[in-house]
Amino acid sequence: MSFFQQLRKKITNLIVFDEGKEQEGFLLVSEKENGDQERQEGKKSKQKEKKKSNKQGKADKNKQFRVKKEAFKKPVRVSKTPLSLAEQREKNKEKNMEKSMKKEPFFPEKLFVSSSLEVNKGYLEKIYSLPKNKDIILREFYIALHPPLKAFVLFIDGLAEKEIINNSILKPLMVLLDEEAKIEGSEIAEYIKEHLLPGHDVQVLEKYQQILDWVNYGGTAIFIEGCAQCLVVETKGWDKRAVGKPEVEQVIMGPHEAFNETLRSNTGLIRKALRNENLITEMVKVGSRNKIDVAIMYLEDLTNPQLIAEVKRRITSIKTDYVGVSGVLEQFIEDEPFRLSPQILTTERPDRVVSFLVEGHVTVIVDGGPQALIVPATLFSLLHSSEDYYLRMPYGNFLRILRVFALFIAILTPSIYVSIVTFHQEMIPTELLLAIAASRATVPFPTIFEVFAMEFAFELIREAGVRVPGVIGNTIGIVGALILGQAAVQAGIVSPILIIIIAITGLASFAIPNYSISFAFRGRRFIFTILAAFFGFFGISGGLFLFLLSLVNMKSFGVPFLAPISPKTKTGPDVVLRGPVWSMEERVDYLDPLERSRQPNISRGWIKNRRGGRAK
Amino acid sequence: MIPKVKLLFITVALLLLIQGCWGARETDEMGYILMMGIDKGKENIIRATFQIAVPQPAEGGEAKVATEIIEVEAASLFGAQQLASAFISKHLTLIHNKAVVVSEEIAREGLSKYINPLVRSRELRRTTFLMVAKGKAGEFIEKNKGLIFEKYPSRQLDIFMASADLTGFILKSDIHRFYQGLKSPGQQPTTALVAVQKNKEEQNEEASSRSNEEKTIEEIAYLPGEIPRKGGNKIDLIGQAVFKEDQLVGFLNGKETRYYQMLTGEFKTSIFSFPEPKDPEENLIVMEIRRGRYPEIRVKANGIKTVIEVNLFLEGETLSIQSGKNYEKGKLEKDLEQYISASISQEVTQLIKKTQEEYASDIFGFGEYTRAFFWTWQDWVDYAWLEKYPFCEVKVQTFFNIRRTGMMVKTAPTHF
Repeated sequence: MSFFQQLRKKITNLIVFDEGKEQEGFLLVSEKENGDQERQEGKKSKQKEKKKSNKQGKADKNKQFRVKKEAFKKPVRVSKTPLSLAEQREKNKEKNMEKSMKKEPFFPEKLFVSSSLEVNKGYLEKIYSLPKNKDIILREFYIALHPPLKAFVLFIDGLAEKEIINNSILKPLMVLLDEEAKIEGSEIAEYIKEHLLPGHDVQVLEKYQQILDWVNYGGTAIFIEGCAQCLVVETKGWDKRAVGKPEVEQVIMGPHEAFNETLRSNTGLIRKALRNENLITEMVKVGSRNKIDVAIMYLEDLTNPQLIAEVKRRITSIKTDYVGVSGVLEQFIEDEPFRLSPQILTTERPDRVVSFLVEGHVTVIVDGGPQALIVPATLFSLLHSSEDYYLRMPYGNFLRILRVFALFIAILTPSIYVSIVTFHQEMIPTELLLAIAASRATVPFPTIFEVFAMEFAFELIREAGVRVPGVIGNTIGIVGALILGQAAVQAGIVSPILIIIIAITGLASFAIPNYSISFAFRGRRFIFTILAAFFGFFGISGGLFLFLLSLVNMKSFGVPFLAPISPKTKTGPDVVLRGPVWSMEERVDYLDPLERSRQPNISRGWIKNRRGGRAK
Repeated sequence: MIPKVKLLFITVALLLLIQGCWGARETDEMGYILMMGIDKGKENIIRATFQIAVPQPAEGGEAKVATEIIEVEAASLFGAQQLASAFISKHLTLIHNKAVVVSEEIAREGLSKYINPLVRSRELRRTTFLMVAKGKAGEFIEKNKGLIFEKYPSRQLDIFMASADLTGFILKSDIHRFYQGLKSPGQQPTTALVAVQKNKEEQNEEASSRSNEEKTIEEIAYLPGEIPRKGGNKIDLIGQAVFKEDQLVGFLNGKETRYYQMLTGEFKTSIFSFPEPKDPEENLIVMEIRRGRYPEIRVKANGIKTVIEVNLFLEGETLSIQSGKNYEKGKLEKDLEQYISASISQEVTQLIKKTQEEYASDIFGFGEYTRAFFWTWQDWVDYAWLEKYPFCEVKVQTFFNIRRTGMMVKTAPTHF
């Protein structure tokens, strides 16, 4: 027998015993207005109800106990005796009945707190499948008033902080309290909230849906006998990772703080670096099952309202059961799911997020993941690193130039090698060609096969390096370098020059700061290699042309992907190379921020000769 | 709509694959010809020599033969290249050919029928060096096989030609230069001259009868193969071959090549030895001379007489003054400058006279300076400069200044 059936029995009992008072027992109401009406009626008969429930408390408990015992015995007996066809049919009917009863819709979101503690308990036992669900704790106690008032607290073990529950809820209510109960009924909740509970965030709620949201996210709910309201106390306190170092986007000069898996500490990290009352954090719930919090952060007096509206529109429109981390949300809200390039910037650095927020971007953070999404993203923002700005201008530009080369090396080196060796041998110096020819003399495969084999091996090393358990992680490097590099050459399977080509391509692809776009470019090099094998330089140039077309064609939240260059818009000196910080006077045009100017023409007030802010 | 676009895209891609660029060839299928020689054949019209690279593994250890030389007789160059496939397992290609060596015999007969395929070929570049070998081209390539400093002759020739800037007696001559000289009504072609070193032990004894002054002046006046020396490569690159139309008419030695390059403006720097003006038999002065400015060349024609005026601008650095006299300063310095100017002017005039009288060939391209007199190309062609060249008057003036005196400002007197 299910709990639902128990509940039904109890309900019928109650109705039978207290004739004419059906309304106040509990409220299974489908509409809010209805509920409000009935609660008002309930208030009138509060005093009577109170007395009765006190008396009935023990009797009810005994009854429940008995029912439970029966429920336990019955199936054992039935299963052992063979049944006739008729009996079986009856049995099946019963089962079907049970099933249909089970399937009877039960909406916690339309449920209100009852004044009867037993009924509330029944609800919660049903909602949380209580005796089965072991990490949901329902602890019954008496509030030390005169006379003692029965109550229980509900929280999830592991999510709620036990210290707070013990010291700030149970202790003040059970031990430290010693006063006459002056207030009765529903007002007791307000009274406890205002006088007795020392929690920093206590709310009085009536809807079950709200209560469940609190409890599911580490809050503690207090139900009190005779009170049709529930107290919820903020007791979040699960085990979480401390704010650590960035794992993916490391810098030498600059902060070494990274997001962790807790949304609140992530938003806190951003607020810590951007102390501005105009910084807005809006919360949206995504995922019908896991109902994860998604924070949308922006500067209200700066960011284009249309951009904010678009981000919110996209996120709120998502209908799915589960969104785990930002990577999943990114796939739900990006513009072009089938293109290779990412259109949303993912970062784990709070300082990076802040630098984008003050430009007028919007940041989306999903609870449970250490990455923040920044929209919109352009190709150039994906290729920048925060260190470019933290270093002095010449050094930052050195890194930028280096990265431009790395980009082209990562995309094109294997394809250029293939096309030179198979089509355009006259292009390279004679000695180099003869060196390649010599190194390939023992290789029995065509160049394209050799290149693909090595590329595949390289990707294997990379992937294995990520997936391998940490304990044996060191072996991957040795295996990769030794076996693939040295042995393959000695065995005459690949040529030594190819090893250099693959190695430099791999290095270059890791010099690209953004993980996603590094993937995109690494993937493209296979396409270019195939084109080179078929068509030589003609294929590469055709491929580059198509690649450029696809980049120009892309948009990220309404912003063209190659924004400051194509279409050409006004921008500060920070696209491929960057100018000195004092020369970046305007924000980017493609975001159309509410405030264009970042700083006055002369941002260095100490300059004597003020010709355009340049010291001369 | 979208399926149609996709279909179109796939169709185009497949069409490209069908048609394709199936010219892909792996490096191990190819035999790269590094140097090509053309001689007269016995059985057939020509005898082509190909020096083919044998790629060597870097960590090979033992120095194997880096090149293989083959000779084939055929009617044409490309016929020979194809016939070689009968006994060479590689597909021979000229894409990395560095030099074409033509034998003296063929050059005297006329080069234009051999130049045409070289210029037309898709594989061969016009920057390929073109050289005339005294004697047989095949012999030259054969003797050059055992390289001392480099692995492949392509590199060796590159460095040889680059050293022309430092010495002045090697002419950087490629196919394009020759073709230009051949086709222009204003100049005649010329190429670099090479030869195999001869055994000259006996000659040296009688040559010593020359005076010291003459020896100093004629310091580098050698044709290839005649330099008194020992060791090194078995071949020489010095001097140049002078053509009239497409036929070889004579040679210029190293000294003359250097003055030739002064006139064309190619000359960069070189070391000259001069007999000391006041004591030519005993002492000499060594001077490093470089180009100060490009030469000024004017051709003046008044209908009766054509005058070629040449102004050379040179600068010098003293390397050695054997006598120890103070040629660094004052009047002696001026005297020295004048002396060197005069002797260079005289040598250059002699060289131009030689090409006028002996070869009747304007290898300097003075004719190009007459082009400014004519309104149309046809007028210029009708003017027939090359016929007039031997009868031109030549005026050469040299402006020479000593800029530096090495690490000594003046020579201190020696006390006995």
